[in-house]
Amino acid sequence: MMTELDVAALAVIAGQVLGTGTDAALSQLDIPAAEAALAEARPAGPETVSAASRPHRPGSTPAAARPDRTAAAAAAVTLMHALLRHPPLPGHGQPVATAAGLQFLAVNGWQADLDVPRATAITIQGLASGQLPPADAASWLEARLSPDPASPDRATTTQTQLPPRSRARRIMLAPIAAIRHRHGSRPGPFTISLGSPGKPAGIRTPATGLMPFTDPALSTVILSGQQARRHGQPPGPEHILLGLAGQDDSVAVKALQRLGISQEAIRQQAENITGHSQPQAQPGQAPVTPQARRVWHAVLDEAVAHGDNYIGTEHFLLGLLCHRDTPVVHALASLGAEENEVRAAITAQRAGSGPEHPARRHGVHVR
Amino acid sequence: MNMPDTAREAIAALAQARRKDKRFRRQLEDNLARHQRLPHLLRENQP
Repeated sequence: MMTELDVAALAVIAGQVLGTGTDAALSQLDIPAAEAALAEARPAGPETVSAASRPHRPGSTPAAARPDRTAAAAAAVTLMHALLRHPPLPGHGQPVATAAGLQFLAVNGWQADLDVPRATAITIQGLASGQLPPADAASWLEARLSPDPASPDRATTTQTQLPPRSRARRIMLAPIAAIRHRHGSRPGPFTISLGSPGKPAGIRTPATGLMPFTDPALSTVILSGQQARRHGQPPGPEHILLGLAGQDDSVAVKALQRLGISQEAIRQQAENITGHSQPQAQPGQAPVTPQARRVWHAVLDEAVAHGDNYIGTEHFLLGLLCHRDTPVVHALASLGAEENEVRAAITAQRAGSGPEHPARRHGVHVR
Repeated sequence: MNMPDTAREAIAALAQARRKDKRFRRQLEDNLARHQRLPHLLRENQP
């Protein structure tokens, strides 16, 4: 059972996302369009409940049992798609549809982590233009959902699991290649391969297959692992930064040099962070830290957002910058490498020297 | 008062209730706070 949004909720959401307030949003609201969108998003049958039709308890949104992840993602995308087709505030279709989708998920106990805005914007654009089928967008969204920790019914829900891999699922994801990027979905699980004879190194996900590392990216991964072991720590973002600092001819280092930042300065900042981290790794084990895992997800998203079918050092650098308030972000900021500046420098570097290319060699290669 | 005005007033009353709904408001504010840059990028997307 899902909790729906109504026209009034759309007015509140639009007022908030556009910064105009509810009254101004309501005065501009195209009510027939809003109703058409909501009707289009409403599935046949008794599987939804309108929040407005429930007795309203002041200060509380009625809580229903949380729908499963797949159903929630599909319903949210259906709503967004309908709102994109029938924009209730002409000229603001995409931000309002996206905010409504996020709010729909929230009232149904789910939280979306769309932490790479550029990749999200490309996905919404694909959905709006019709180039991205809603089923693919739903798969993309599904991988980014987590139960809302503040949801009152979370104790009644089971552990969330991604749907099993299947040929049908891979086929369903394949049309994403039609839009700007080749690989359009980033499911939760991924494996990092350092390669072996005959097998290239890269990141493999069920939906994208292998996205090979460029030579400097592979060296970054290997060096970051070595640095983590040297410090007796699990591989974290600071070790990835150390790995990046060692790649002389990489897009990431050259982009930072465009900002007047030397490799030595990057290395020193990264070493400062590792010096403050506590050794935690157990002998023989090298668990990736949660922060590093988030960076890896962001690295994948950055590659997708750039339309690249490989993983380069620029994706690592941008992945490191995706999460605010981390020691690495602060360290880079102290050097003058804020995200916007870095993005601009990477764009300029790629335009000048071209992007990095996937490694031609197979197996581990350490410079 | 014509029909659309009536509808708009009814929606305004419901919207007022939504705004007083603490959970709804918190969820909305949290979502927008966690995705601050997204609306700007999406506005750039608009044709």
